[in-house]
Amino acid sequence: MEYNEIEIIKKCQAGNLDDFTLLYDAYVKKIYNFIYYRTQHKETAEDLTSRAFMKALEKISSFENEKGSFSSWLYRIARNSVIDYYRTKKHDADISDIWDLASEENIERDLDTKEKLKKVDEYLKNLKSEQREIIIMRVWQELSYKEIAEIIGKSEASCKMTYARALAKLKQEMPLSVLFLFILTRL
Amino acid sequence: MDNKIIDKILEDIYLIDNDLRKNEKQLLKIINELIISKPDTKFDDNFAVSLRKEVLQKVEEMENVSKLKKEKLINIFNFNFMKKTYLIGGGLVICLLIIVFGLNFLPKSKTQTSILSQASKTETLDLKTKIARVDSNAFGNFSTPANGASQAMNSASYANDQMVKSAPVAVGGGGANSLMANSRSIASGIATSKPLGLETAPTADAKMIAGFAPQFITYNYDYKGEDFTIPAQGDVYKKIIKEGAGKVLAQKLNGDLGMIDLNKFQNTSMQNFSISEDREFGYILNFDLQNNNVSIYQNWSKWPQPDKGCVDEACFAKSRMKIEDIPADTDVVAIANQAIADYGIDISGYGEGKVNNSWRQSYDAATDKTNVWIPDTISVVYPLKIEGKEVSDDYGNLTGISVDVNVRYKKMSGIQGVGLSDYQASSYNLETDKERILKFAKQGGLWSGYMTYGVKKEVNIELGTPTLGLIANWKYNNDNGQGENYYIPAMIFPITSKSDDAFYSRKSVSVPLLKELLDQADAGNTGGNPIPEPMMRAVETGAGVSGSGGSIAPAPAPMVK
Repeated sequence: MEYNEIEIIKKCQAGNLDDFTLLYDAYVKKIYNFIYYRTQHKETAEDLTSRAFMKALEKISSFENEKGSFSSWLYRIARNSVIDYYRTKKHDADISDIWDLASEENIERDLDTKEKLKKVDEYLKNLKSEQREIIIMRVWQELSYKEIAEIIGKSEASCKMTYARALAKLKQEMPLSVLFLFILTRL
Repeated sequence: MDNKIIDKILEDIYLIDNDLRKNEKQLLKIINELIISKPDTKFDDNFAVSLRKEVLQKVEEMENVSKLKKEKLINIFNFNFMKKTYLIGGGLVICLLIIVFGLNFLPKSKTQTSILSQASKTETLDLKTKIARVDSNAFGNFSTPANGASQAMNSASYANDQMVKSAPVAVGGGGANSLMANSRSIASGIATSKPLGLETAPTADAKMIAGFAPQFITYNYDYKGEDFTIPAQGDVYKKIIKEGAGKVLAQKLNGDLGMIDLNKFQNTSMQNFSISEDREFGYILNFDLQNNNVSIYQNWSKWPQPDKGCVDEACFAKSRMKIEDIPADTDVVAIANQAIADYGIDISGYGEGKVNNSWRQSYDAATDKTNVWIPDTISVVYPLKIEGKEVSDDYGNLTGISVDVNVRYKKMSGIQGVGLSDYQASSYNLETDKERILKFAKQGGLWSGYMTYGVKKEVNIELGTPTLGLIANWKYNNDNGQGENYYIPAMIFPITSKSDDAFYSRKSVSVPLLKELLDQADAGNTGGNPIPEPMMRAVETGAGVSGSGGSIAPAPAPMVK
């Protein structure tokens, strides 16, 4: 169903919070998947999805449409929920998703997913977390680069410049698979 | 992921470094590897439903704490209100205006008081759907004898359907709606059965529309979906009619109209009224204030009638729709969506509009398509959603707001099912035995046990992974003598493929999750249904004349166990 998202948000901000369920229905699966790809554990993903929506409900009055779309705002809340989760768990500021953890880390992970990801695990692990995120959002979630830029809070222009410079330097050093992934993460 | 997205990814890469084109084969391999590695996220519908409840609880807490909970105040003289609220609310205002207008032309007596004596005050009418939580099992047992009344009605109606189905139906009579209705009932009636004891002698109509020639068919359901989970508990919803609209209006009618003094009547409530539009392609609106719903129909006198004055087949044939006149589904939905938007109907509690194309079953199956009646009205259904769960009927058909689209004139020609309701939710224990649920799914739902002899045709149907939904249930309340509407948790199995069959138009098979209903079905009782006995119908002769409703031929009644 195509809702007028802005109208619904305005209604929520005016106090008709029941309408938040329309936003919930539209996004719950997308947000859950987004979180699952970063945690690879069903129960953790469900817990963090719950946290993200509760937070969004609490903060809906502060959402400003002029500053970006509701979807990217919601994804950012979900992304922060994941980062907070790993920080709390590992007391390590650099841990932002499951790939940042060493394989022996005692963090729950669905076995079938772990097995399925074996092939791509190594080269995804070698990327920076932000690059990895972009690949996941682009290939697995099929988000546009514009949406991805909004979610991770970067302008398309600055990313393009950064990546163009880096590409020129790294082209000679990287194997094709990593180079491809690197290019894929340019915005 | 489709090829377009893969191509787009490659294009993005080549924009950065065109040299990589020569490595396209390897790049595709890497992309495919990534796609293949995409994990199954194990998204659980039960989790989504449960979290939705938590979100609603949180909403309630927040509204209570911050005192944001507001009743919608409807100033009955505020015309902006019509832009903002639902059609019913708008209708109430229109009604009041009519009354005011009408009174200006009535003779006034000395004792006559203003019928709108309270009109300067604002009235409160809460238009938002509320769901109130009540105790577990609050609605009683759904397999009790009381439920038999409803089932008996269903069954009687089913039996009638079968009678209609087994008789040839004249094409042309009753227009597109009648064709669709018959086509739909044929499909649903037969499709729910295992081999069905119906057979009719071939008729001229049967040749024209294959769907109208019942025969013995076995439906073989095969489950091809993945593993699924069933929650141990689920909510049954009871529809509660919002009070207020009728009373609010009746309270305004408190004066002496000149012909009758309404002051003499006590505790009055307006029950229904109609409004008609005097314009080309105008409508008639019927307001049922007892049930708080409104229906819109064509004002026939204001719509063109292309076969008006026709007395022979050649004349009727001129106005007959052709298959190329039928617009694409997306266009039909667009017309329906536009009507919904134009008339300010709130569909936020409903799913996306879906076209009912059941008439195509008959069309596709007909050998001589030139004579098949093509409807000029096609309906779009916006399925009702309660707490995120879609509602369907026993046969898996989605239920909700139905918008009729006249495809000849590309205009909305009717809307049914618009209403205001609240719900009560009560938790019930559900059947969690997947094998048992699958057993019912493989027999097409709770209905089973039809006659199996004389099978002439087998239709193979594949079922996909089910989702948690609701099925509508009607129950007779012995205490107040009224029917009540309930929505029961069910697993909805989508039909993913089927072998060719003119009769079968179901999109899904639904299996209710209340143990008592399954136990009842296992015991060979689908809810106190009477067992129609085979009987012969009276033979009426006469040709099937267009517009006559059809000729009747000897036809056996269904044998329903």
